[in-house]
Amino acid sequence: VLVLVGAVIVAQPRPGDAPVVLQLPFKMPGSEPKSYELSEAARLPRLPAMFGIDLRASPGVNVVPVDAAAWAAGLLALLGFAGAGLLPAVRRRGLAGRLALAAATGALAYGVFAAIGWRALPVTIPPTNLNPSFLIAIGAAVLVWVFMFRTRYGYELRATGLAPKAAEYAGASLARNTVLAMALSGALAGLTATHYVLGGALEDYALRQSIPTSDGFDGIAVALLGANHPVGVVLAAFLFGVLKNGGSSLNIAFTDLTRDVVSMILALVVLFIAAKGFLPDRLTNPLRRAQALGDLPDASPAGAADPPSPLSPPPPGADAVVRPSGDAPPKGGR
Amino acid sequence: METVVLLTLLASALRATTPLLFAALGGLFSERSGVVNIALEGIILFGALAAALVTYYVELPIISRTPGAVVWYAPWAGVLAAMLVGGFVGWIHAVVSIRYKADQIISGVAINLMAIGIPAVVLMGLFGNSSTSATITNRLPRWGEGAFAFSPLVFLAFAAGPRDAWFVVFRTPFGLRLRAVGEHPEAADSVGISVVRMRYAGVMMSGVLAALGGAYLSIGGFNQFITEMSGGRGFIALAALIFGKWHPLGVLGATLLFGAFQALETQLGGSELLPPTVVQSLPFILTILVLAGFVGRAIPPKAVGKPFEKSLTRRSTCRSPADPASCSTHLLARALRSR
Repeated sequence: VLVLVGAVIVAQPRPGDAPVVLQLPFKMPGSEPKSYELSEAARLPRLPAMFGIDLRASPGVNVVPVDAAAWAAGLLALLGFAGAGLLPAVRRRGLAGRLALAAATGALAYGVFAAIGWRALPVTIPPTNLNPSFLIAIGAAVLVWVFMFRTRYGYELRATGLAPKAAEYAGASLARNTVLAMALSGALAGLTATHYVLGGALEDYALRQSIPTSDGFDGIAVALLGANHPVGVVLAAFLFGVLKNGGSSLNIAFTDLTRDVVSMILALVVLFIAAKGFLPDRLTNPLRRAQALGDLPDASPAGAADPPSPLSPPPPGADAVVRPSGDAPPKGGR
Repeated sequence: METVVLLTLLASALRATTPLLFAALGGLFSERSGVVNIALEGIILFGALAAALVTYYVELPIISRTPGAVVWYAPWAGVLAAMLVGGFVGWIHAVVSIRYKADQIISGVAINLMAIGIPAVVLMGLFGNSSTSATITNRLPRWGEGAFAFSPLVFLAFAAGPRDAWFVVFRTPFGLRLRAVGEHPEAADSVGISVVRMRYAGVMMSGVLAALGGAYLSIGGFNQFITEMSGGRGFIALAALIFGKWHPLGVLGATLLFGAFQALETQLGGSELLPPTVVQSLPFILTILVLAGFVGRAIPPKAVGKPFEKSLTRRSTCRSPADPASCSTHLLARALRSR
């Protein structure tokens, strides 16, 4: 620190000094702190451009024929793939059977939808900033799910979070898992740049000194809202996105209101969800209510067809919410 | 010539340090009692807003009759209001994170989110724009000469802040209890200290102090409230708290360092000598080094961030049916019988 302070004092400009201009490699010349714009080839296209709409030729709202039949067929094929397990005849043939069923569903759907004229459905596409970073985000969620719930490493990571000591006893390295978790979270958070820089969500395709959003902090809230599970996180992020985007429309529709109302509402949502005990448990939790009425163990209440007993394993996702610190096992005897 | 520049730099460093010092001391009380307070940023904003608004409305009746009149008590009313509002926001953080045992980070994030939304809404309602309040005429007075004319809050921060905080935390029964609750709540509880009450006190004190920093920003250093005028000072204060190793005198040194860097950054702002952002990032790099143990070692209060459960087995309710550990033995036994 002393060396730094000394260096600063020595480096104070004196009268008669030649002006020094420092040029950093990425910085755009000028007073505004931002980088050079990306070259055309490095930019992510806007989503309409991916469907062959030239936004420069026709900015604004476009009505274009879209091959909706292909999309519907693709979707149904996916459904067929996922739902193949329900048919015993298909399930017996394994992956090949699934693929065959998916292909069959897709082909059938394409034929049907093409017959009713969906091959060139006019679709209105509003001007949008939407770009493939959205798809990257969804893909990242899928990857996280696979990693966390379908691999050994993810299992180890979750175990480390739930019960560090037990995980260590079972052979997991706490230090390695902590570093891994931090590195992964950094990598995922860094992907935000695909939207703001590569995708050009701000006015230009350049890195600015400060990105004018609070995505980092909202991310914490989204993770909480999504119960630390990829599916929940996608839904919570969608809620946040809708609310924030709605804020801008609100600004236009009601001139007396500001869009910051939205951040107030978001804050309250987060606060009420964070403080789980804020509303009495018997109001928010139907199972608890049933317990209070004394009819849970034998007669299940309407709406809860399959009430998990207090000792059944927790549903997927619930395990991620449990804080390791506060949950000591009950000391016996009382 | 050079001495003048240096003296100005020193004076502006002291000014830049003041809000950081208030906020960091606030954080000290909260974290020593075992509650992480990243809501400092939001509390600074709320304090700044309250100070600006109350000063404006207290001086308004007199200013509207005789423009430019001196209303000496107006800014002090603003400071008082900031303290009250800060204590209130601290109380909210305390209720959510102590009474309802929410994750303290999440609660802080929510309050910070609110500190963006609520001021904008209030300003929209009062002044018709969502980013600035009306300018006030009576700022806090300045005591001193020339470049060294400071707001009373600066004197308060340096003369009373760290020394008194040190005295309270390390030389009074209250401070001993506060530290005990932050280090080992179960032990403190077993000797009859109310963990919950001590934590409430710590968090509310941190709110009051951080709001003083906010009041300095809006009516001491400036003459109106601007949205997000805290500019990350709450987070810098937290970094300073870590850098100062949760000790009042360490915090004084750390905030002085951070404030000096901020003043330097402002002075470098115009020139192209060195990018100001490089200077800006230096304190944070130092903080990381301290945390990693390269420069000394920063050990946080042991129980910081953990909600206190008085006694698990005496709870009569189930937090969730899937979590038998949180049930009373009674409910657990009933569930077992029903199998």
